[in-house]
Amino acid sequence: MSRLNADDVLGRLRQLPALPTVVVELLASFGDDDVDIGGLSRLIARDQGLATRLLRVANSSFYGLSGKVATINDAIAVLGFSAVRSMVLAVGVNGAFPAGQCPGFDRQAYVRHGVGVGLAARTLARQAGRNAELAFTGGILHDIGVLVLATCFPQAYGEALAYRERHDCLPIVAERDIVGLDHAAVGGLLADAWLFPAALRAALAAHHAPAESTADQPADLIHVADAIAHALGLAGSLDEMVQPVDRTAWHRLGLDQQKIAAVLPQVVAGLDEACLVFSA
Amino acid sequence: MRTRQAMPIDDVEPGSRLAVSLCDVGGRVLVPAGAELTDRLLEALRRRGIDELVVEREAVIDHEALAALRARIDQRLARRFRQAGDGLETRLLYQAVHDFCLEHEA
Repeated sequence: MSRLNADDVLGRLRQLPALPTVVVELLASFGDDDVDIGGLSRLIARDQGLATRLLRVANSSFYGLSGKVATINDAIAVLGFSAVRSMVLAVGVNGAFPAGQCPGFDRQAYVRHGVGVGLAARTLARQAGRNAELAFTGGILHDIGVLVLATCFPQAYGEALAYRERHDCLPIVAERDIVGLDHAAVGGLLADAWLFPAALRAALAAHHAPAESTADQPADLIHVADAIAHALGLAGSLDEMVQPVDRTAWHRLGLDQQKIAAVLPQVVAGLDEACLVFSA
Repeated sequence: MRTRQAMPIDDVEPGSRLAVSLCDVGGRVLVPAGAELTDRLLEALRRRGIDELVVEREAVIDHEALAALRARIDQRLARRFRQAGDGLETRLLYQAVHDFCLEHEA
């Protein structure tokens, strides 16, 4: 099989159905707190799948308001605009890639790892005085390139998974060797194709090489959160592998062992509930 | 040092102490934390359909068991960190996760 290049990926992405309007609008407003909440609420209400899901999430014990949130407006008022935005984005973007037939790909492990990284990145962001919702959304979506490969190029990605297992190498190494592009690069292509804001693009494209991104972008947070999630084995897969922690990211976030120790219990405590909320 | 442990009611030694108050569904305390679990009380709780209790345990530091636990955690983490190199930051992450596992699994 010939290896993929950026045009192959972009061509396949162009064939996907358009993202729901509300997701596109939310992407455009990412990082902008001065948005029309009434307009957002009407957009969500028009998308029945998202509306139902938002109400289910708002009423789940994750937010401690079981049964009290009846309308989209209530959900936004109670959860906060940024929490609703990150939930709709994560669910909308992941939902654009329906289950495929990729041998060796475990979608449940993908979701659990993404949610674990989201929780870890959010906790690290709060600790560092950074945008916590951006970190959370970026964390949940950081491996979207994996989902693109597994659903749009199942055969090539399945071969990469088998190669990774045979050589016990890091996933990005197997992806480059077999597919020709790693999932961070594919995440970057998706971010460009779907006009993701720069911060979200950095979370997807630079989490394996955060030093190539700037300190104001969330790549540092996602990189360390990724290492934490793999170190804790949150995906529940035997093959989990921590990649070397990048020194620049660690220092730019001002981390030490105690700060990491403070993050771990919060990640583990929130995982199961958050997985229910975000599983596809 | 005292620790707490959840166990099936049939495994609770009479004379143990309850570590967490036992409440009914309405939140009313049936048996307060610290109460001695006598034979009679255990029987009454069984009749109410309670099958698990959280009891206080005197933690006896079993050095052998602790060493075995450390070894199990090290083995598990060594596998997850097998491609992570030995940079200082990676080692600090390893240590933080190791300590966390030790605390939660001891």
